[in-house]
Amino acid sequence: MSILKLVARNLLRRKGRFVFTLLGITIGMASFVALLSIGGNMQNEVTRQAYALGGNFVIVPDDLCVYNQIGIITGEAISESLDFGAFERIAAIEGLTVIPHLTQRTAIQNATVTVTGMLPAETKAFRGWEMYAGEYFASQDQQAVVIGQGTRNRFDLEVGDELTIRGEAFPIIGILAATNSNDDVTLHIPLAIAQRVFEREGRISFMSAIVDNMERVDEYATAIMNVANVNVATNEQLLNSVLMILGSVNVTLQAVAGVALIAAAFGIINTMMTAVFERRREIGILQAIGAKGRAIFKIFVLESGIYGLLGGIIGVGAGFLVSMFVAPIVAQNNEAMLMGVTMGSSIDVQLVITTILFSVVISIVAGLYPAWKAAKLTPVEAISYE
Amino acid sequence: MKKTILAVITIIFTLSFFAGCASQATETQHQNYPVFSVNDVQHDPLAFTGVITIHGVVTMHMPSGFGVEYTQQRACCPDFVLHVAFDGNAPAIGETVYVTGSFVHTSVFQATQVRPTR
Repeated sequence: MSILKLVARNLLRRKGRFVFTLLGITIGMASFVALLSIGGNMQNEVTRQAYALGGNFVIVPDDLCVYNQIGIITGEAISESLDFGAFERIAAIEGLTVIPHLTQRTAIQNATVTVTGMLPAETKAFRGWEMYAGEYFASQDQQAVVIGQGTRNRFDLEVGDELTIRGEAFPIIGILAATNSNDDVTLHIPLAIAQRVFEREGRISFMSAIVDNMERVDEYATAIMNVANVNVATNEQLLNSVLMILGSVNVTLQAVAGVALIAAAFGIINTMMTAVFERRREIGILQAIGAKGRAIFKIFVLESGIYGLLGGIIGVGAGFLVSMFVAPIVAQNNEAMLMGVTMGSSIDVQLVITTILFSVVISIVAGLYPAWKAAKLTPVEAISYE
Repeated sequence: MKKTILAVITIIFTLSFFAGCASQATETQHQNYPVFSVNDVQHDPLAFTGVITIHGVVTMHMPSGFGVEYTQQRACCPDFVLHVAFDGNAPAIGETVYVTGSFVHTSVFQATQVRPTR
């Protein structure tokens, strides 16, 4: 009988113990993979959203909290502490194209929706929007709304339908083509109308800017801060602030998953020690017929390794399944679910291989001590055990 | 003796289980209505129709109720205090609560139930 056949027979001798020990390592690996996958996908999504803002940088109030900076990327309503005069002064700087945003919130069918007040013609050109249906704003004073694909699909809206925002009627005149950004789940109305309806006359939330010469970004930033009491953040800087927070959360969650893995490793040690104890006579017989200590050691290490291999493979599959279902729920406040975003659904081959290898290594390490104990037994000790 | 101990342990576990279920049911009752933060509702309160639940921190007492703010308000960000009208006892200032009710007009949320979060 080969060693592999012997190992397989030993593992399956007590099926219940095999299954429960395997479950321990499987759950540990599944939680590790799920958290890594969700965290990785969230970072990718935030990065994508940051670059979908358009422009080279974002101009925000001087005292804007980090939390509100996140809101710029996620499309949430943020404080409107910039005055429109700041926009006019900044827009006058040569070489700079600037658009203002006023972000607020309303509800459709008791679900919160972001409303953005913007300069229609400038924003359409800035963002490169195209129309899917209907028409775009004819003027800056038109009391109407243009919606994105996400909003259309979620609430089953079409051109000609009417929305109520702050008690006033807004007919839907157009639907944007999909942008794969927060624009898809936002209600777009002219800035002047938004300022009046939300009683925010003369106020805006932030601005996006494009420079004509990327090499002079620092010069432009300085010029902007000279004419207005604002902060200038490139998309990368904004992204880094958000990713720093996400990163801390990810590390914490992975530490929790790491604890589950350690618990699973101790489960393997326990199972293998019990196996050594139960199979003393068998070990003694093997040694009596010529098996060396090395062979005994190899058998027990192989058994541990197989727990790790099987647990790793099943755990990786389970972990990715969990991340596919959980990720959209986790990202609900980012409205990623509305956009049908790909969060949680991509499979990283490198992650799969690394995780399975990691599982095998942990299991082998866990099996070293029991294997050593088994190899240390003398034939007399082993056979005379009752 | 062993049987007695076993019986006592079983009774304790059973009572704990049902107590847990009951408290979970009460918690779920609030969440049968859609739950929003103060930040969600402050810009267009009357867009939210019917009975809803709002989650926030109690920051002041008023003659007819209390004021609730967004749980993640920061010192650098402008405050918005949602006025909650409530006939019962106002929760303590600083307490985080679920408030169930509906908007009666733009600036007032008429609460029918107030429950502190754990």
